[in-house]
Amino acid sequence: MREVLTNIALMINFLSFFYVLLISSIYMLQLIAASISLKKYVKSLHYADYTRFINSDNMVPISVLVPAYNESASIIDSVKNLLSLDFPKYEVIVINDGSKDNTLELLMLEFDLIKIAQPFRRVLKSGNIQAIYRSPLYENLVVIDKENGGKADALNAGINVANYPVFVSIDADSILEKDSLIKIIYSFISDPTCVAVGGIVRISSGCKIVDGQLKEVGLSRNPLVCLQTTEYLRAFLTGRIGFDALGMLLIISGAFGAFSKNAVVDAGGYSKNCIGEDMELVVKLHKTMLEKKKPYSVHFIADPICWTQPPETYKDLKKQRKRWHIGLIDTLRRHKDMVLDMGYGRIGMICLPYYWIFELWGPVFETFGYLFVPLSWALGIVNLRFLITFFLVAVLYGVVLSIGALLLEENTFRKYPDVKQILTLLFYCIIDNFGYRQLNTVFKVLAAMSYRKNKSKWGEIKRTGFDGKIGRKPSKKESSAT
Amino acid sequence: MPGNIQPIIDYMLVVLSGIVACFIISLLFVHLFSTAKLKRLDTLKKQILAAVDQYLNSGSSIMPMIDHFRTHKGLRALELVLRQTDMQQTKALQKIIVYTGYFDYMKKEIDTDDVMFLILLIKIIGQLHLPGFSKNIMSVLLKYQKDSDAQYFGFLSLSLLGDSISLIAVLTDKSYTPNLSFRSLQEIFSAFTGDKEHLFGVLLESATDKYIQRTCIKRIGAEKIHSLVGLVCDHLDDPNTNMLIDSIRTLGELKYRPAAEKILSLTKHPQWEVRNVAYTALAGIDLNLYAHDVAFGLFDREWWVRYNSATALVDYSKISELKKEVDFAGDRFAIEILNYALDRKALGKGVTVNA
Repeated sequence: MREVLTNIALMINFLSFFYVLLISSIYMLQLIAASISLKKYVKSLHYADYTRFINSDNMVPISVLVPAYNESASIIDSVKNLLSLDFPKYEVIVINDGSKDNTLELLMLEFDLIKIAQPFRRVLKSGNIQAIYRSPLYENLVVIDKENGGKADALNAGINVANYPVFVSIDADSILEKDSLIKIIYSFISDPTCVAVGGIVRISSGCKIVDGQLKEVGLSRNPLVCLQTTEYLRAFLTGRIGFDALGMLLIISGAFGAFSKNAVVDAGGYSKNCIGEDMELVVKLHKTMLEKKKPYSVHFIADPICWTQPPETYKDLKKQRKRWHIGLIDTLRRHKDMVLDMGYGRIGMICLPYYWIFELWGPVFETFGYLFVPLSWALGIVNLRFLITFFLVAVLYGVVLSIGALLLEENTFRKYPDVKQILTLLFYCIIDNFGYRQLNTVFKVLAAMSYRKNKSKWGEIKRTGFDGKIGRKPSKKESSAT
Repeated sequence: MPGNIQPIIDYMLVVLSGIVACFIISLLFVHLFSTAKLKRLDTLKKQILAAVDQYLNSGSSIMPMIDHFRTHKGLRALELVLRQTDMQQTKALQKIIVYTGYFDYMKKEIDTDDVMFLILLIKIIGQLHLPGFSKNIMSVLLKYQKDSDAQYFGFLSLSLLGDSISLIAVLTDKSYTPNLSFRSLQEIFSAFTGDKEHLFGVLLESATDKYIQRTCIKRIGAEKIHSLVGLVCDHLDDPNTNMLIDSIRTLGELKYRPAAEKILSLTKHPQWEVRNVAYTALAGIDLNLYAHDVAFGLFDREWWVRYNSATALVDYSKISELKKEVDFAGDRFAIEILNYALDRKALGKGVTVNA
């Protein structure tokens, strides 16, 4: 019996080692692909001509969709930011998804909203729209008030009301840089087959934001937020760019993505009751375009930036990561028919199997490894040297990838030019592999275990305004109006 | 089993530790190097601007030497300066480059195989309106047909140079296939500084690609080139729907009354995109004369036709009377869309609307 258990433990150790080797090699491949792609992209910035299109009639007009549920803390700053962007022709559509706080009241007071009977084409199914408001002060602002239906449903309602051929989805707690819109939409000009483009999401905590405008980039003093900063750099600058370079981009962040309205409508829009609606939409786009054999492209560009608020407590981080993982599981299950189907090219043959094996089951294998290797040592099956060196190899791989991402950041966009900021991020690149990554792995495993129970729950994450205050009361101007 | 893989783990530990150390050193080195590089670029920019100011302040009598900018970094700095100079400064910079021989340096560099550097150079040539590079730009266009950036900046530069001969030569060449989006083409043609009437007239008849012809038709409307209206009218019977739509739209923008009857007949076209633009064009030609015809668009089965017809009607001088007729007709969708268009107009004027 002991011999059997010993052999099983040894096999699991071997498989864990093999898994670490394999997944780390894949990430290294992404890092290399991302380096090559970013180098070329940054060189193209030497001659990129966005300013020409800022005042041009030939720029494609867009609809910016902002789904909002209980966003009183940040909605005003966010909308003000969106109304001040450098872009020739666009509308901002805020979809109040049955908020229980004073999100709608704040909007009505700040922008003098007036109810208007606006007809629209119901091209996608969505929940009941109770009212549409427009502002006499901002001709391009539309506010939809609808019954609660979730983010996907809110976005579908926004698409129905949108007037323009391209829409950008952005979270209500996010801030765009002035030229973010022009940079992300430029893809639709330069590449007529483009159906979706993702921009980069960065952490706004620690940054100086005044009246919805980013004034200065900074780092938060909260270690948990700094860990997320390095994690986002790794995820976007290696993961997304790496997959984009290999023609297998499956995720465009819901916080900042641009889409062809026609292509999304053809794909059936966002799926209701799907928590991972951002990834699921991109998979659907791939599926629809490949089935129709239409030329298309899905891009990720690291230059257009959306600054967002991350969870600031472990409790909120856990909720967020569980939600992301449940969203991943949901998306993969909905489209399991695409896996290993040659009709879906690289997406079906390489990308989706990768996600099933490494992103879905990977956390399980990893957790097994964390449990079995020490257990093997406790049972005397492996020695202490093996235990320590194995753990160090796993950690060092992570450190290489994190510092690699930071190196890419420093060599390209340099949003943190101060040497103190670089050293701080370097510190967190190292320590995030000693506990933080493992914690996220555990969150993913917990999410998988509770998938059936939680698959349509968003949960609530505490939001602070960009000034750090939770919730918002009407301003003096608003008070005098009432 | 651990005995078998322990050496591998030890080896990986050494390699990974080495990589981490290299990355950390590289990070610090890149930080210092990038800071220095940016400072250098900034210094070059300031020197170029100082040279321009010196030239302008001297009343164009002093020609500052800019030989030390004959580097790739110098050209980058030049491009960055061009993003912020006004017309006077740009003209001054053009004269400095031509008369100081910096021009010869650019002539030498345009034979480079580095396509990204070449694109930068071509962009600068276009922005500065530097003469004598058309042949080079044309050969880039023909050599890098699949590179959309090379195509865009090549054509843009020829456009900024007002070089219709080169543009026509490339765009009527049967062996050449344009690799540009429709909007990029429109932007290129809108930047053309030469004789637009001549360019669009020739291309509309001889361009090998329908996209080029469509772009010409659109620009004729946008630039109000009335002399070419006859060529546009020829496409009112075009079997290509997109050509037809662009022609109708352009004739509406040119307010070309003789085409009105034909356009009116097209409001019955089976494709809604054609009906849509036909109603808008009629409103553009003479809203007061054709308002009742345009009002039929309010009753169209297609949402966009109703919406655009309503939007076109809001400026009609007798809109209140027309509204009564629409209300009387009793079509809920027509009433709704016209009310919305009028409410939006009122909202823009600060008048309260009733939803």
